[in-house]
Amino acid sequence: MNLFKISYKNIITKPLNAILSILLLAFSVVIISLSFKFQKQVTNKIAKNTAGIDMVIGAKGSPLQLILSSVLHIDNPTGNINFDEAKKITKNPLIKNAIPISYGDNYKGYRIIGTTPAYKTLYGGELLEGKSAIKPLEVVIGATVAKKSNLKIGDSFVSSHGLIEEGNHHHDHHHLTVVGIYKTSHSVLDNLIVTPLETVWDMHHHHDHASKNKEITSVLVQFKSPMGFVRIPRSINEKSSMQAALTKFELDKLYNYTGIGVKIIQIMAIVILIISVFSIYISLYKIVKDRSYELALMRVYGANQLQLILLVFYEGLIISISGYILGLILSFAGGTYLYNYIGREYNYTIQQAFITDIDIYLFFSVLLLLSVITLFNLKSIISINIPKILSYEK
Amino acid sequence: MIHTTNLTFQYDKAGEIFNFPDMHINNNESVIILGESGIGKTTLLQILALLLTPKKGSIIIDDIELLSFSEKQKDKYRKDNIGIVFQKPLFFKSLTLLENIQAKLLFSKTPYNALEIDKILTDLNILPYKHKKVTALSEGQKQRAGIALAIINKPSIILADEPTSNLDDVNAKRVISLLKGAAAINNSHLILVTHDKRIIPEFENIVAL
Repeated sequence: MNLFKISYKNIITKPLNAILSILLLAFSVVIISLSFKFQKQVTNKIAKNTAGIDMVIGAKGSPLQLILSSVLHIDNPTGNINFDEAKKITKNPLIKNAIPISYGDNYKGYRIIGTTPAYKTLYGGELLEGKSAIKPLEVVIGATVAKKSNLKIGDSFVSSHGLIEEGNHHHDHHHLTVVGIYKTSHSVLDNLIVTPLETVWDMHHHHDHASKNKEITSVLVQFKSPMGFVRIPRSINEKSSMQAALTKFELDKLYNYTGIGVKIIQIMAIVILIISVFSIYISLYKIVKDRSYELALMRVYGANQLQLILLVFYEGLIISISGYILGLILSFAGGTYLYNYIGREYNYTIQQAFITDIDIYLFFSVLLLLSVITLFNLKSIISINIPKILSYEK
Repeated sequence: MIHTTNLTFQYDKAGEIFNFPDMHINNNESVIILGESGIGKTTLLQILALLLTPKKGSIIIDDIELLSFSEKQKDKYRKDNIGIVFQKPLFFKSLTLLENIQAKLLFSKTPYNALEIDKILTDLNILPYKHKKVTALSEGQKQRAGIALAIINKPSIILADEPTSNLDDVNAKRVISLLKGAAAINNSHLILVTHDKRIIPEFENIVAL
């Protein structure tokens, strides 16, 4: 027998109050954990996908759309640009790396990206098996593509025109062959089919919807020095038919738009957390009032005041930990559903961790709040009038 | 030996003053404190249990003045030496009878001895119910369970508050017999407060309030 067991037995004997507190706390943990984790994981994922890309050069249009389409592959491109014109700009000494990409086709919804070998290096891509795609019509597929499409080395397939799976315009005369599969990199590379630029040009010249000059969709640029940020975008936007979009600038704008919604959700979650903590406070207050004679009995038996406080604290602890764990499990289940949905609908894989630093902060916040509300009940616990309670408890 | 002198108590400044008669109880003696309702029987019992502090007077047990103790010393003395049988037995309602006993042993820091517990429960005829929730016990079983809890750590003083007031003649006699038996087993003083005149013949020492 120990204090914790008595607390536990007290709770399961009259569980209704505890269940309400546990559910409220779990609900707030779900919202807080899920919203913070989702925000953080998406931000991390985006940061990983945009690392090494300071600027994107593409066709004029929405700069955010250019970033989303060329870097994160979640939007349509703004158009095509002339490869030679882009190449001239990328010879600027302030530019460290420039990777041309060209796309417009898909296989089962996975984008086919025509590019150079530098693209793989940008995302730290390594081959799991096979070799790099060097010749036209050779492709290397990302880890998720391999897993979901069941394509293997040596398989051939025909791509569809457009960037979504429903496209019914097939490039029947150009069979693409899988020559390699990338290891999982937790970047956009996992969801892409990578091929030399020539593949895209070959396929599209056939349709005669490209000009005599070679076209690409965009160029991913890394600057050599911060001076690049100042000089190059302005120069491109003012003096060429193309546009230059700064990755960080555009994504910060995006975070500002979407951040308001996330903030509102998080504020609501914190309000619910406060309500649930208040509910635990009421539960503990009821424990002290309803079972004051048990606490008095403990004192008569020889328990000291610390043991009385601990008995009440443990009951709060059981409620808090149960609510927290339930919340964490539900948050993980919700996250799994959400990330699967995003993966299914947008071919965009987000890794989910069961416990993150946010959950640990949340755990200690719950413990801290529990300690505070136990302290609020402290006066009622230590000022128990034993003779009065034992006389009236008939 | 217990010796009380000039015990006086007042709940608040404007309240009634209770003056209690002096008592002298020799070792192994049992005493019944008799009085009508409202005369201060429970108050006296709580003074003797060191739960209430009298306005004046003294309680000397084995040559030690208990009222000079600090609250902490009183708590320790009560824990080590006093067992209380409440008029209506008090328990942790969420626990079984055995768990209640274990809880008392935990708080009184008395070592757990399964054989001894079983013996006491057998003597009180409630051994078969030791794993039952106390809320599921009959009134008679609860009364005996209350006695078990009071004597489980072998107190040198057993204080009983109206233990027979709600019982019929047969059960009242049985409870008194159990209390006296328990006191005899542990060589304890038994001090019982009551207004129940049916049990007077069971005691040789009577203190009237």
